[in-house]
Amino acid sequence: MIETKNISHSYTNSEPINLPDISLNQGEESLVIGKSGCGKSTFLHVLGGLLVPTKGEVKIGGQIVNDLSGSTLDKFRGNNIGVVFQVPHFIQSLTVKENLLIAQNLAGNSINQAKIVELLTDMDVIQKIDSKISNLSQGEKQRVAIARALVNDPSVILADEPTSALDDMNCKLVIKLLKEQAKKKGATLLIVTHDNRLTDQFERRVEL
Amino acid sequence: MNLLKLSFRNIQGRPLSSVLSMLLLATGLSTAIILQLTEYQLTKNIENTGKDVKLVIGAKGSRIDLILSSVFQIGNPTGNINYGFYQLLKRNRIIKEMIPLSMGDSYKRVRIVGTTHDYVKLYSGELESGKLFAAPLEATVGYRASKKLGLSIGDEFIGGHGMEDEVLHHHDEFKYKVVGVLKKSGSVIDNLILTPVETVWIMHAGHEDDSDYIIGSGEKNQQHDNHEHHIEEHQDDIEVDQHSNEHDHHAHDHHAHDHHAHDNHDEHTNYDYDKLIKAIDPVNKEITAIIFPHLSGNAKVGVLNNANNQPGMMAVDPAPEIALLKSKLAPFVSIIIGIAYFITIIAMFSVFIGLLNSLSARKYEIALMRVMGASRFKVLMSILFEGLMLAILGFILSLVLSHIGMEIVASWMEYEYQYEFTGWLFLPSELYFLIIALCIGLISALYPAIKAYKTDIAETLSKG
Repeated sequence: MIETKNISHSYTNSEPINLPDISLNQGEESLVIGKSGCGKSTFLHVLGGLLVPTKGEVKIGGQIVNDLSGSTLDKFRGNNIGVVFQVPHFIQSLTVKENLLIAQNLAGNSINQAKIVELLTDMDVIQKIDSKISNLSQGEKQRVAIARALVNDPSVILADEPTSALDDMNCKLVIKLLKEQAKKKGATLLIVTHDNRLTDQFERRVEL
Repeated sequence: MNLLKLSFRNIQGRPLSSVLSMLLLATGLSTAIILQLTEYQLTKNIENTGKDVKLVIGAKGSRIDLILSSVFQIGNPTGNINYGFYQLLKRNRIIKEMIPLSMGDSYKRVRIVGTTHDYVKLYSGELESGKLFAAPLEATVGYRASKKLGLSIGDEFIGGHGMEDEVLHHHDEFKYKVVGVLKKSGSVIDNLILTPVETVWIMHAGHEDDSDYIIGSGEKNQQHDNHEHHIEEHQDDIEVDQHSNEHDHHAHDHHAHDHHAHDNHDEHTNYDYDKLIKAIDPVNKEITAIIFPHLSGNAKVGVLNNANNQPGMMAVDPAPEIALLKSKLAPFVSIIIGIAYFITIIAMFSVFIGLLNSLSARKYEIALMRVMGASRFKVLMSILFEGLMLAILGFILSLVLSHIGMEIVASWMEYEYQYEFTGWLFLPSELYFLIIALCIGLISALYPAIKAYKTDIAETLSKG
């Protein structure tokens, strides 16, 4: 489902970063562990089609992502990849529900209110559906962010340090939800983290 | 939820900045719209009222004052001329139409004009009710004047000497009687009270000593006849009694001394007006101006030269005077247009800075939109939409402000210029301001939009 080969990326004026080869099938889950500064974010950006690597190849669901460009890549990303960030960001002027609606719209999908309600219920934030983002707690924000990552039924869910800003309780809850949802949708889950609390929760681990 | 709605929400998300931008834009545009509405209505009024007047004869003085006072009923007349001259011209066959005007009196700031039915015909005035004035002291009231004064047929009122603010005294021994009300004509007669020229003489004779008018003495009648005779003799070369002006001055002095004399005659109610008019010395029969519709060619040149050769008289062609007046207004119009442009340019900066500020705070949101599948182009469009929406909202606000503003300006202008102005007039050219607004929205949003277009997703997210 998601496969990388010989990826290496060099930013201007710095040493190239070599990234590991991985291969995950549909529904599989894996952790990518590494200290800060070792290229975790770069790896995630490359996997998510947000950054084109200097060298190497990323394949998602049979599609070589590097071959895509422009709006085709944007559309592919919106439809196939769900990303959860370390700090959950939203469009501040929109409500919880509207943030999910715009995610559907921007990916080029038709509006599906029922799915939004279902996801927010699963994430236990349905009571905040019409709230402004600024009225959510950190844990709630992260759960809404997960709902947003899932709203277009992606085949791959990428999470960048999704728990580092959360307390133990929320950390456990978020991981549990991510795993549950990935399983429910049959999506491949890849979490990039330096959070040791997660280490024993995943069988597959890739060290950077 | 779509791109347009997102843009709208983003505008809502920074209410202060958005409202400031819209207000600035609306102020700039509405200044220009009010100017245009005023110009349009003024021009239309000037055209309606001035187009058919080809020549004006009045007392020597400021040419523009004569045109303003006699054609547009604005400001004070230059003085009076003798009615004898009018009668003389009347016998000249090449002059088909001429209208005497006698101004100087008013009722509650509405001008009373002594004239003939031709004046009503000149502006295609139609009766709404009643009839046109026929006998002295009968009044036919213009549409707006009747509304303003609440006058209808059968009403009586007392006029005052003087116009607008400076009513010197009331002619309270003679009452005007409303015999008709005119329909709206969209011209100067809407704001006037019309009466025969004789009414004005009676009013003013009323301020002379009794012996001047009550019952004409033999001597007076004799003088009258002589005068008529004298004019008849000279009718071919259109000349007026040289003495008439001297008489005139004398009469005015007399008038000034004795204008309280009438206080003793309040009990007079039923005058024999014909007798009264006959008793008035022809030198005291005055009018303010004569206007000539449809006069052209040799007839015009002839009348012009004749009038200009009369002592104390002048003939003025309104067209060049109106053009001069317009050219005098032009610098003021330019200044207002300049101010409107200036405010509009400030509005453009306001939209620009508002967008740029909000965008630097929303950098991460832009990257996020891209992660969610938005293309660069969509991001660009969403920012352009914000600028365009602010522009459209500003334009709508400017329509509201300008038309309400115009309505307020209108009440002031009406008082000042005797014409009807309204804020509830919509010109197709106002859509031109929509195009200006859209251009402003587009120009000010362009740079921020391009900046958003160029956002590097990975870099922005790493810094997030």
